[in-house]
Amino acid sequence: MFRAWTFTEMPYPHLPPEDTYESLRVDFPSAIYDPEVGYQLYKTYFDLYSAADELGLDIMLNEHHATATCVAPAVPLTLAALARETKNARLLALGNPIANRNTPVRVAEEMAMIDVMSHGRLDVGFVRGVPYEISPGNVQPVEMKERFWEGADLILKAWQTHDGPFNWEGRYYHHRQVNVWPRVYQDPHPPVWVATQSTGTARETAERGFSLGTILAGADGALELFKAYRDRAADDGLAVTPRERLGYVALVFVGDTDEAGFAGANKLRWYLEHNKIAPQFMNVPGYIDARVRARILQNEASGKPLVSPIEHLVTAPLEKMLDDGYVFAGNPDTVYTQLERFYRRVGGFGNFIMMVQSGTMGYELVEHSMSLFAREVLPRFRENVYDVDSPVAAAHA
Amino acid sequence: MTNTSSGLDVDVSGSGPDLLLLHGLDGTLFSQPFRDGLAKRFTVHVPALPGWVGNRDPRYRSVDDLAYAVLDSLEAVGRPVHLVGCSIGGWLAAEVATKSCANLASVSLVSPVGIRRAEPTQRSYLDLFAASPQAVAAGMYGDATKAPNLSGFSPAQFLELAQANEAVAFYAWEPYLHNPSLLDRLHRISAPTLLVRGADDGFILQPDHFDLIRERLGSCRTEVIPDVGHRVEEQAAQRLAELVAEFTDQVTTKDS
Repeated sequence: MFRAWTFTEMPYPHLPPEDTYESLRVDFPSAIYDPEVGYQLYKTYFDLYSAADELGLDIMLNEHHATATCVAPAVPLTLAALARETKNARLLALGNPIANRNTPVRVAEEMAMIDVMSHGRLDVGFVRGVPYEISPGNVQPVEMKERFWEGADLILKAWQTHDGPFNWEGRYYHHRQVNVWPRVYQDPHPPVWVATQSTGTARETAERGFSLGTILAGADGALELFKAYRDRAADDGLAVTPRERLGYVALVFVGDTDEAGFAGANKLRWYLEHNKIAPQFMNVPGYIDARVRARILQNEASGKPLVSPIEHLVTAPLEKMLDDGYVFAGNPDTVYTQLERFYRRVGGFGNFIMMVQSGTMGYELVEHSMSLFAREVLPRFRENVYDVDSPVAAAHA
Repeated sequence: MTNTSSGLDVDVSGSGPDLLLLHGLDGTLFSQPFRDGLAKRFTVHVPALPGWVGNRDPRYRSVDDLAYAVLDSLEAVGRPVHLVGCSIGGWLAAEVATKSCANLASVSLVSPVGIRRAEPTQRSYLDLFAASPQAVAAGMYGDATKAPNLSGFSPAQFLELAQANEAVAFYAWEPYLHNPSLLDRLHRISAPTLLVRGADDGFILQPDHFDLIRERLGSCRTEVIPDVGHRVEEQAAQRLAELVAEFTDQVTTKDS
């Protein structure tokens, strides 16, 4: 089934002027955070997720650290709250930054408990994490990818072992008595996702049969990643890659009119516009391949400073972002058309992950957009596009 | 030349008594004048430490591991060697000398890192991975304007710099730039030791850093070089080469 997931980064949007700070990440002082305002914000964000559940939409959650842009530093906590507050929505953690946490067994336990609490509604994503999570996590940036995959292997084994403890003494993790309680609700384990922007990781994700999620890659970028995934799956003998294994995250706002939809989309751009990051937190040795980093150092030496990876989106006109598949916005018909076009451009996909809230957007505004999507876009898209599209045709598009 | 037991490539230049140089954070990128200065008086052996030139080796995962490779290199020389280490190379030199001084004629520790005794909230060393590039340059050179201009660097040199940065992250991430056990082993260094620091070192933040080392070494010669920061071997290359030569002459004379 085609799934539409809702997502907010739970931002604290009341920021001082950008020229008064060096970085919104890592070293941004929490003195500006008013916990009373924070309480109201959490209420709004959890209420929005509850509304999404009632509208028949699914829910995606993430975590970031030491930043105002995403005040959700522990995805198991938001999942746990929503496991109780929602009834039907699937809950996707995209994801657990397992190379940053260094406690894979603990992650396996947390996710197992939420899977049972939610009655098997959990999807578990693993993410490597952005470079500006290295210092907040205080984690070794070298060999992070290798550590990531070993952590994933350990978690998968922990979920599927039911005959008492096993021993794990790997290259990075040592745990001599692994015995996870509770047993996961879903058999053999919750669906696993990996979020990436890299075709190499997309191939590795296909190899393991996990689902792939990618954020703001645009239609061209998503096609490249999905193709890498499909090609690798085909190498393993899969004639057709199940569409439900592919997901795409974009900014989405549906209004009663195109004008209202575009106005909402412009409010969502707060997410893109508030991303000032000091270069040392992006340009982390070991996180980036030395050959790539050498070019960054060379640019810096010639006076071309490193900018955020989404800098090109900050100044792009809305029209272009709509064309390229970064933003979906307008009235329900317009968004339906954009979604169908995107679906065909990327060769089919089964998970549309919608960043529905950003900046100061409040409950009523966002709930209305979600409601229009749930009632006037999603059923039509499922019926007229997804359910009639032949997966074989999609795979070869 | 390759030392077969350790597997390390060792660059050898100059003539005279044997000296093994353990490079600093940026590998050998900025230290050629210092090596040339030493080569006038010594046969200078410079091992390519695993990682610094893209040669990471799964056998070496810590500075402690590197110390054993250096011990192998010292044995391979077959004569007493003057060991010199700068910054992270000073840490490595101290690790080597605490394990065995059997092949060492002397030890020179230049701006050594590797030790820590401080309250949890006190930084011992500037955080290379979180401080701004300007703050790192100021810490390293005492004044950011004294840092080398990289605009004339070749792509190969930028790659070497990126690989060196990665090696430092790999070996020194946590515990950050130190071995918690090293301070309590320093008394084992029995070879004559020279301790050198730059007067304007803003990278080593612990105020009693050099006092602690001196105290644990028991007897050592200490020298403070004025107007330079952490990178003594770059900023005072000739002065440091002369100082090392003078010190090794002194200890050799004493021995004979």
